[in-house]
Amino acid sequence: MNGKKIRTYTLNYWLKSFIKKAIWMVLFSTYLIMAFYCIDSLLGEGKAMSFFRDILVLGESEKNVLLNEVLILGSWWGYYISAILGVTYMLNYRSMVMLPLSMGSTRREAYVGYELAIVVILFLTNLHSLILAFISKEIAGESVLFNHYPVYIAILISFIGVAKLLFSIQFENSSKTGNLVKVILGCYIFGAAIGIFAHHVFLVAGENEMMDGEWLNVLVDFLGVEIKPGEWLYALVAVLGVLTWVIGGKITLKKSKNIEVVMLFS
Amino acid sequence: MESIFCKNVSKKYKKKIVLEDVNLELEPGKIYGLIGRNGAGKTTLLSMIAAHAPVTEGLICLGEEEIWENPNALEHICFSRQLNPSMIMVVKDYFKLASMYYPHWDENYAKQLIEKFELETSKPVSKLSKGMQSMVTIVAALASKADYTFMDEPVSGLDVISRDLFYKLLIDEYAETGRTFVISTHIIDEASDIFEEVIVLNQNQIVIKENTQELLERAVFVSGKAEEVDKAVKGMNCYHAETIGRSKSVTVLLEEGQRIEDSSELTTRAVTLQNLFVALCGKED
Repeated sequence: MNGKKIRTYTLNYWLKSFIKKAIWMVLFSTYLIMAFYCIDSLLGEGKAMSFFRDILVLGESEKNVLLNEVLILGSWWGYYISAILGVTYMLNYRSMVMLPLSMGSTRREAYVGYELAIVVILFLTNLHSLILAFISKEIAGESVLFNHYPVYIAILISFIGVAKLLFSIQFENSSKTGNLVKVILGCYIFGAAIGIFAHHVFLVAGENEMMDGEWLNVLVDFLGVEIKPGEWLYALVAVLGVLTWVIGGKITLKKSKNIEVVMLFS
Repeated sequence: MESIFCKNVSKKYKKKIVLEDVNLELEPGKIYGLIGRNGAGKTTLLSMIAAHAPVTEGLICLGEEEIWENPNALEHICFSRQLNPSMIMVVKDYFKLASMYYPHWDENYAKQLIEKFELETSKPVSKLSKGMQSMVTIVAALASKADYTFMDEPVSGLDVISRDLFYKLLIDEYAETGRTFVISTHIIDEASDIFEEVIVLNQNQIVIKENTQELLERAVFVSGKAEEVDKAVKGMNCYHAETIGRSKSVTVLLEEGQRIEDSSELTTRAVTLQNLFVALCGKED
C-alpha cells in the first residue's frame, strides 16, 4: 500500500468521524444559546442576555438581532470547538497512528496521514467559524470576531504547534510523561482561552494600548486585514506556533520510528 | 513467496528480557501453531515479525528484505491481534478501514465470513462480547488474504461451535490459497490437528520448532516402578517427572535411534500436544 493511499484513507475516516462530532457539538451549542435567549425573553428582564453579552463582550455596536447574535456566538463556539477538537485529536494521536500501523502501513505513512487529517480538520472547523462570522457581518454590518479572525487562527496554530512539541515527548512510552504532557497542554489551552477573552475585553473597552508598533503594518498589509495594536503578541504566538509545529513534527517523526502497537486504540 | 527469517532476535523492555536470541524460519504454505505460557513472548514475537514492534537486537526479513518500515514486505503480512475491549469504532467501519489498508482484501469473502459468524457490524467493538471481538479479528485476518497471516489467540472467548467454524474456515482457506498462518493459542489439543508445525516458546526462547506429527510420534509417556522407569529412560530427554510412592511417571522426547524397551513393569502411551507442552513448560513438582 502506498503512502498516498494511506493518507487518503486516514483522512477520509477521521474526517468523517470528526465532522460528525463537530456537527453535534455546534448544533448542541447553538440550541443551548437559543434556549438561553428564549428563557431570557420569557423572563422579560434582559438580565440573562446582558450577562451573557458581557461575558462574550459583544459590545454595544452589535445590533440586537437574534439571528446575528446566534451566528456570532456560533462562530465563537466554532472557534473554541475547533481548538478543543483539534487538541482532542492531538490527544488521540496514538489511536490515529496505531490503526494504520496495525494494518500494515509504515510509521512514516501513518504519521503523514495523521498529520494531514489534523490540518484538514482544523481548516474545516475554522472555515465553519469564518463563514458564520461572515454571515453575521453581512447581517449586522460589523462583527468583532470577523475583524480579528486571522488572529484567532494564528493562536490556534500555536495551540497545535505547542501540542505537537509536547506530544513528541510522549513517544517515550511512559504514561507518566503522557499525563504530564496532558496537564501542560491543558494549562496552555486554559491560559490561551483566558488570554483571548482578556484581549477582547481590552479591545472593546478601548484600553488596548499595550503597543502600537508601526512594523505591524507590514503584517497587516500582508494579511489584508486590520490588526489592532496589541495583537502583535498573537502574531508572535502564531509564528512561534508554526515553528514549534515544525520542530515538534520533526521530533515526533523521528521518535515515531520506534513506536510500538501495544494494542489497537490503546 | 519467500520465507520469513528471524535472525538472533532479542527483545527487552527496559531490563526485562522477553525474547533472547531467537532464530526462526517461517516457510510459506504452512500452518504454524505458536504455543507458550502467558508472558512467554508469543505476542511480542508476532509483533516484531509484523513490524508492530521494533526488535532490540537482531534482524527480521522476508527473503532478503528487512520487514521493518518496508512497504513491499509489509503488504504480504497481516497480524490480527486482540482488539481493545473499549474500542468505540463501529465494526463495519473497522472492516472498511481494513479493506482500505490491506491491499489484497477480499470484500466478498469478508461478507461471507460476517454472515457465517453472524456478526453484528453496526455495533461498536466495545459493545461486543469477547467472543464476538475475536470473530472481528478472525474476519479481518482471513479476508486480508495476506500471504503471511499471524493470529494472536483468535479463538479466545469463542464458544465451541464458533471455534469449530473457525478451524473449518481456516483449513478451507489454507487448502484453497496455500497462505501461511501462524496461530498462537492456549487451546492446544483442539487446534493441534491443524498445525503442520508447532513452535514452543519457553523462558524467552524457542525450545521446539518441529512438524507436529513427528513431534508427537517421538513423545512418549512412561510410567511404572521408579527403578524400572529410571532404567528405561536413562540418557533420554525427560520432562515433568512425577513420583508417587514407588511409582514414577515421566514424559520422554525420543531422539533418533532411541526407543523404550518393552517391559511388563512399564506402561507407555502416546501424549497429546497439550500434555507434551505441560511436560516441556510446566514446573516440576
